[in-house]
Amino acid sequence: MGITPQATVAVLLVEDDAMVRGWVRMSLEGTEFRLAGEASSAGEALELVPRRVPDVLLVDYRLPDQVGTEFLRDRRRSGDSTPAVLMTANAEQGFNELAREAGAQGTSMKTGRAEELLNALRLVAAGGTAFDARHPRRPAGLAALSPREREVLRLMAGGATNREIAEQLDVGAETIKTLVARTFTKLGVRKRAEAVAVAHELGIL
Amino acid sequence: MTAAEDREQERSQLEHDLKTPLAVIIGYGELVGSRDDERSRLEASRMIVEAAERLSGEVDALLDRFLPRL
Repeated sequence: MGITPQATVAVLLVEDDAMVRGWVRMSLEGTEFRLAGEASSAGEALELVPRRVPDVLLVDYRLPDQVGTEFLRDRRRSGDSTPAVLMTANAEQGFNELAREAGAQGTSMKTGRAEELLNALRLVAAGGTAFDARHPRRPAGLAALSPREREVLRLMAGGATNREIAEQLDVGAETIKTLVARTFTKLGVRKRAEAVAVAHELGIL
Repeated sequence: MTAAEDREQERSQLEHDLKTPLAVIIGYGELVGSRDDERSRLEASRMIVEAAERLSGEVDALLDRFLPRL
């Protein structure tokens, strides 16, 4: 029997499914990883992260109160740069791109294969990236939105007109027209309602 | 949301609901084979049964929805 490595890398798990949490917990036993804490929602994690100071965040995508990408985006906005791996049960088109944009360093599919999860955690904990290649790439037109385009989309989703958006962002009407057009192109839509629906589906909003 | 988007979202949710317990079964199945301590093996066996029961419930719900008994 080999020597059990010392568990030095602290992982904070954010996952609402108790069975999956149990599996992750057991999969980390006897490895260099230890669970610094478990949260079953984004809200719980928000309180736990600053107290436990993990080395890696392991975050489920479908959380009951927020999608994992938005949780991570919020963490990055608040200055938290802890490396993160996002988990999903399904292969989702464009998921790696979405995870990258949210500030994740890796993705892992919940297949039940412990080695796959451990490999992703190892790469990310070592400062690298690990994006699961089983997620199909995002179609070419659906390129990443800039922070400004994202802001326009958020205001659009709230029902604001171009003029109102221009006022709120303190830019000219022509600039907003350009931003709206560019956002539509990137999302592959032609109407405001479509843009908002696609953005919700992709977890951008 | 368009009908195609609705359908895609429904499919994604269904896939998630079926694949999660399956992954748990595979995951604990692997662990049963690789652990030599009794506590872990018992815990893994218990979770496999629990996940299989959950999966069975999901399959029943799926059958009732798409192929209800006459």
